[in-house]
Amino acid sequence: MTDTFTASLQIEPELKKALDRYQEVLTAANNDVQLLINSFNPSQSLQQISSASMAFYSSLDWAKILQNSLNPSSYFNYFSGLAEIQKAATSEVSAKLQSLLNTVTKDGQSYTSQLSEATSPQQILANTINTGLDAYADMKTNLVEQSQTLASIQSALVAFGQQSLSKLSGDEVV
Amino acid sequence: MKRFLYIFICLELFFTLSLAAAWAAIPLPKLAINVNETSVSGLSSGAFMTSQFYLSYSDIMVGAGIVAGGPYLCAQSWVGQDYLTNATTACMKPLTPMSAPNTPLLEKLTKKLDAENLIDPLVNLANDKIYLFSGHADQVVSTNVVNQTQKFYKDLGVPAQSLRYVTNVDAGHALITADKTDSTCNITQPPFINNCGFNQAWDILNFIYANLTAPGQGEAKGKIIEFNQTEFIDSPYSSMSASAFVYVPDQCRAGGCKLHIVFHGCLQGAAVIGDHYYAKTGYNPIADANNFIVLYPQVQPSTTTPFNPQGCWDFWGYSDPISARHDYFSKQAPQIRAVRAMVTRLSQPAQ
Repeated sequence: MTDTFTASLQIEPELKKALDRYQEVLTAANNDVQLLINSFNPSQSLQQISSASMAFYSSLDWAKILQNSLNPSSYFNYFSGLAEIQKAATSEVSAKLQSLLNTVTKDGQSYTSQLSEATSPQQILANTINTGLDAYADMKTNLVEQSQTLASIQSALVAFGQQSLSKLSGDEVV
Repeated sequence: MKRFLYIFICLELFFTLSLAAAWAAIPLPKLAINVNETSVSGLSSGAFMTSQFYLSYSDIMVGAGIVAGGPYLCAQSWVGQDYLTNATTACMKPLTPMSAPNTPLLEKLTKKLDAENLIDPLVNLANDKIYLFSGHADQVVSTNVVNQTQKFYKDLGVPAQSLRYVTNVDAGHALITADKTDSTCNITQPPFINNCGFNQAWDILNFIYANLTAPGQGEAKGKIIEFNQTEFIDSPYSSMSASAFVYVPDQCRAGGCKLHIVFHGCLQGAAVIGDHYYAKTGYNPIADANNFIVLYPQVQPSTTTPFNPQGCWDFWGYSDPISARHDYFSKQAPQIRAVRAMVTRLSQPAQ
């Protein structure tokens, strides 16, 4: 009775491997969170933004901006610049979403096929863990790419705002 | 309070370990180089640092090689976001050409630094040669960014014939070699050294100095010296390694050789990829054939303070978190000061 009970508790090598991998991924995820926290330096960021912004806004000719902003022709450039950003953003975001969809589909199919191939409960568990971790890795890559795209869209809008003000002020883009 | 204590202990530990490691390395030798024949090159963050070091000390420079790097001060392009955000968006993969680095502003800021004597006079650039490269398949630092580097140097007085800009190679984000054991040309993966069938180190050096002797076949014959880098570091935030490397051809021990400085890219320091960059990227055999000393300063990853998890050269301000200027770009920047001190040592009379 005892032997049967002990034998039933033995972990198969495949499941052990999957559990080890789970542990590694968990450690890596914790490190990533720590890195993310360490990357924040709000006071330095604020200092950089505020000093650069003050220099920029004080260099503008605000009377000219007001005068030029009443001229309808100046809006053509404004809207064409914005349209360019809109177009690039839509294309980038939809490409990333398509990639995410492909990833989810691929991982789902992989899970289904592995389940049908499993011959023991422990193998089912090992397959489930492995497929889950594969999906996590794929999603993580995808989400990092998406966040980079969103950052570049935001950066483009910031650049656009600065360029628009400079143009209205009659300067070269600065 | 606990957090400060933790950071303090980490810094102490870092310095103790650095000193222990540095103990094993010898001091950088004095080699009486011809300092006025110095040039510099680098990939990616090393390319940004190339521009920073080149412009800070253009008095001693004859040229620079910039592989996948944006214009000087790139991280200060757009005022509504901090340096790090600019560095990772506008300076790498901007959404549109319009949101690429703001070169007119960067030129204005550069001229201001010249007026304040924080960099050497920009008139020096008129006699120098600049090599630029952007791989067609580079998805990390796009061609839109390197286009602005070309505009930057053109506008600041580098004559058109002194600028060579290569964009027609289907290369990923990498330094290029002709070594079949390196990665395939058009991919982007560590260690970011790709075989595209030509030796980029040769292209850079031969463009800068002209009429060089082609290197012979086989291994470099001089000596790679691992030296103690800590004696040149005067900031706890530099992220620089305890030791760095210098390649010295036998004939250069007597003095009179030229100096070329090579800055590695992110995840390319010796702490990450061993000797792959400083021994196998093609610079050293050229040095043998043409009387160059090659200096390979080193940066390593740091995940706390300074925050530099990929071991990149500083082009957004991590190495100067205290001062209001966050100076990573001028003669006063910690990393630039350290490398300049190494150049000074190499220029002292040979012993």
